[in-house]
Amino acid sequence: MRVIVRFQILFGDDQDGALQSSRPEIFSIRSCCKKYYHIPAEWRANAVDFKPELWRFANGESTAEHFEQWLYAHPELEAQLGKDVYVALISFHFDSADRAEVDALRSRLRSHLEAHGERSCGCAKWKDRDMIRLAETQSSKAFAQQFTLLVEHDENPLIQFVQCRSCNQRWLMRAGESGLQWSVARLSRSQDLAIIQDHSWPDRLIDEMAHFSDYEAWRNRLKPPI
Amino acid sequence: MVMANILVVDDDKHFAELVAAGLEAQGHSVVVGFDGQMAIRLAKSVRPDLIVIDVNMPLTTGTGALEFIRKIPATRQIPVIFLTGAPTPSFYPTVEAHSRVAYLKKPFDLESLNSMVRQFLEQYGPAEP
Repeated sequence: MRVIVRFQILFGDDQDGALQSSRPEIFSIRSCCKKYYHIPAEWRANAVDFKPELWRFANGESTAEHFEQWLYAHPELEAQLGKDVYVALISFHFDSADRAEVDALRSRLRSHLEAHGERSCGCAKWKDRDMIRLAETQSSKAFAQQFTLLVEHDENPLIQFVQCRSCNQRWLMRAGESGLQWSVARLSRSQDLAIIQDHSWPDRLIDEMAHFSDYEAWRNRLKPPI
Repeated sequence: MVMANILVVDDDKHFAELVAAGLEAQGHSVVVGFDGQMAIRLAKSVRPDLIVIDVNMPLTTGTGALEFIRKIPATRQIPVIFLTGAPTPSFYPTVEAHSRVAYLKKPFDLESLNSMVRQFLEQYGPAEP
């Protein structure tokens, strides 16, 4: 499979990354790039952003066991969370806590994340596979401007590999027909490297995104939380 | 002699069990773990009076585990003895940065370990219940 890799300059005003559409009724992030560059090394090794993993646990999408392992592997998290919440997390008895205790911890973490300006990056709250339905008053263009197009799938150009400008999380995205619905799939580090380095796309996801562009159909295909 | 609950952690299971047997022979009660994350987990749940831990281990190293153990209120006072083969340059500053920490270079004889354990327990005593 041939993959066209196109990169756009990150600086400049927001219009540099503005979406345009070959069909006026379809909003996408494609075809807006004026300049294309190779992938800068710092993008590949961009600073770890902890928010998606924290939100995954807060939203009940990752298990306590997985979160505990991740927690112990990232001692630098204290600087981002603050001492109180961090100590509460590392002191928690993940292995023996009952469901209510884990839920209470999730709730505390969620409250902390919401109270500390984490709303600036909306994508951190999304589920790994999600359907984002914009409000009627919400601009699709403004939504798409939150992301930078990295690679466009050559067989399904409406499916795009993008990076959040706020937290650097990489996503596969596809706009629905109205531009008010977006199917999104969070990419793991290995998945995003596979696309960039090996031009290897996650075929199952691509297939599902290609065939299920409307809200309900995609919604029905979403996996239940882990 | 003070008898204590001791947590022994080493990714070499045979070695960990050997150390545990040596400590049990002295009358201590011993729990064994095999990596740094187990060390943190067991330190929280067992609340040992002393931790004897290897430095180089998978998932989280012994020194990495110490950083967590010192931050958790329930475990921060637990004395720690590191067992180390070839300490890296960063090992010594870590040891010096914390109180209630000592190390024993591998290979060592069990009497050296028992002696250090005895000294630690006499100095710091079993943790308050």
